[in-house]
Amino acid sequence: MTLDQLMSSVAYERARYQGRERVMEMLVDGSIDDHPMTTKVDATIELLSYPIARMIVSAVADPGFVRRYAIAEAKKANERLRNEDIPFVMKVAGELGLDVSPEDGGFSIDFADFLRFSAKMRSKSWKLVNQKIQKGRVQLTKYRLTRIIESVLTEKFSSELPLEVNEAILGKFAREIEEIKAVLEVRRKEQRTEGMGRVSIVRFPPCMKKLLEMIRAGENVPHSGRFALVAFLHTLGMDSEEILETFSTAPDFDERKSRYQVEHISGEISGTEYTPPECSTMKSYGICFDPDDLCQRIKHPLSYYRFKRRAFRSRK
Amino acid sequence: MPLDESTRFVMRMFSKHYREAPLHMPDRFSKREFGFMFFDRQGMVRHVGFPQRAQLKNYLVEQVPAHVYYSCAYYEKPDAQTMAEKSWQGADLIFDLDADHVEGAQDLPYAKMLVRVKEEVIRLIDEFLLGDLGFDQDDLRIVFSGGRGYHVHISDPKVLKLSSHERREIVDYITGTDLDIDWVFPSTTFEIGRFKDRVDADRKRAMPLASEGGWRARMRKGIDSLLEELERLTNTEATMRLAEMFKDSKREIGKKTIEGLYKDLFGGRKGRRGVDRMRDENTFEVFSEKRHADAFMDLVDMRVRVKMKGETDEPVTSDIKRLIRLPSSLHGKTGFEVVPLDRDRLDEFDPFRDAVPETLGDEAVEIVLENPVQLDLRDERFDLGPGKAEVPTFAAVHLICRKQARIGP
Ligand code: SF4
Repeated sequence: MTLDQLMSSVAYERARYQGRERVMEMLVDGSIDDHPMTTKVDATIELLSYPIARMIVSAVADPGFVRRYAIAEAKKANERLRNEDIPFVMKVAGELGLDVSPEDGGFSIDFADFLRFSAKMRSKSWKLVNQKIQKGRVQLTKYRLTRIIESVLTEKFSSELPLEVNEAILGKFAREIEEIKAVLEVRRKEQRTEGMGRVSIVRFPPCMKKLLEMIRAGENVPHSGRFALVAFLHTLGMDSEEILETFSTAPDFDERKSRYQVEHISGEISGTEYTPPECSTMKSYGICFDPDDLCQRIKHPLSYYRFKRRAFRSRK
Repeated sequence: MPLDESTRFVMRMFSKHYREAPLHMPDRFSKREFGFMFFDRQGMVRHVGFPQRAQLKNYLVEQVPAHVYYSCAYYEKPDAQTMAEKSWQGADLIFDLDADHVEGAQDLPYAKMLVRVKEEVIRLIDEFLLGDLGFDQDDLRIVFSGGRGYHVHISDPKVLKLSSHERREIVDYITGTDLDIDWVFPSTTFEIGRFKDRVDADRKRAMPLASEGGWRARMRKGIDSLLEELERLTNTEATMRLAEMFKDSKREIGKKTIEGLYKDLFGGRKGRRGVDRMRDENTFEVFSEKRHADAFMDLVDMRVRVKMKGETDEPVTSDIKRLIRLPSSLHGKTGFEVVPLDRDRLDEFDPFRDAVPETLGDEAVEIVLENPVQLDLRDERFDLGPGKAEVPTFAAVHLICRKQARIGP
């Protein structure tokens, strides 16, 4: 079977349909649904829908979307894996390059692998200090092992995407691509006005609002401005992924460069977590934009945010 | 700035050392950034790279830095000025332990301080690095820092790419930071390995086993030795000892609680006492009152955890582009050599004998001391009064570097 056939042959119409569905489900629900695979044909179609879905995702060419898709696919894989038997799970882990050994009642992996693939899990129970470790091996239950595998897969999928897409693919899925782009655009607009997850943009001081707008619009922001904004968002509790996501709407978004900057400022690379500068410093850098009345009463952009929060609560 | 005679003398001797001593080269040598501090200039020179070892050697002989550092990281372009341009490729995992991080070591005289720090380094290496984390002896390079402590460098390929956050996890492991007591003492009402934030007042806890991995085993060993310590004491001695241990407790723990706790553990017939059941049945449920159990838990958290933890300087380990002293260079504030060691040599290692550079020789030098000094160096005892004295070169360098002596008027 060639790519051409997969793209155009009538025989693969169902696979193409399924691939489209995968992406759309992810777009709408943020996760991928279970597709019953009762027959061998079902299974083949499911399998072939992967490359289709990946091509569509790649063609949309939106870093945030690609990342979300990788996460969703990995999560899906985890859900399936959880129900598989031990030899199968071990085999999958092995194929992904994880060195897993069976341990009485569970598994063990090298602590360095454990650290690498549990870095995003911030609950206390995932900390290395709360693991059973012997001779460099961390003991895991099956549930935890498949969760680790999910992380491996997220990393793998993210690194494989976006695929290169040709005209034929762009043409074939033009409608879907347009549709997805439109949905993403609407979301972005909503986000801009509503805020980002737990962080409420309405409470931002004017300087940070302005910096965020500029970055999202791809305007040239001085380093001091980027620094102030990233440190600000980080202090409000956004992690690097979320911050990157926020920036990814910029037309000139350079993931590699931005990731480095963000991870540096948030302390993931440097080990030092920076805090945003106070108003006087912001002023001397020339990035204190349009200060308002509240600004007269505070000395630090963070106090502005906190103050607003209080004001919001008391109004209710 | 004209140099005084003492500085010129020390620089001459350092230069001689760099000319004659074999230089220890880190692996991936040409990918490392180097940094230097000098006797005769302020500030630090960094972002220097050396494609070949001969170039580094020349630099040392000619520029005679007081302190020589290289990066634990290796880079695509080690001499680029900014981190982004340098392009980070990986970094050795570093542990740094000096007197500031060992309780009670800061106030000791220099020689005793180094002995105390060495004990902690040995614990760090044996218990944590070779023990729990399972590193190979061959993967560890232990280094006497030339100053107040020791470094351990690990270049096992699997750690080179670890991020700062991941390295901090290793530090937290060693220092027992965020150890979850509910995980260490699993309660029988919940499945092992599951965590709940809620604090249940009367759940039944089990003792961790010494055969389990990680901090569970470590805490069990700590508890066992605490119990043994108390068992050896008489009733009155033990309650006094306990009262002393509870002094820093957050809660008020009164005499009655302490006596009750002691009775629960050691009262009754031998073989049936609380402590015996704790050991034999691995249970925590030997206390007649909740107050006693809570007090014991306090002990576990305050005494046992703190006693069993390892020490290391957190920012050094989590900084993936740290500069660290180059092994076989000299330390400008002591004149000691930064000595590379292996685990077997560490036990016997005595900086005052083994870190005095061979290259310095023993021709007599006349020095002047402000205050009397007593010192053992290279198995020789120096008992120097204030005023002029004649000492071998190696001793003169050490004393001048430590600002205890000078040359000339
Ligand atoms: S006064 Fe402070 S908070 Fe207000 S805009 Fe200027 S820098 Fe921002």
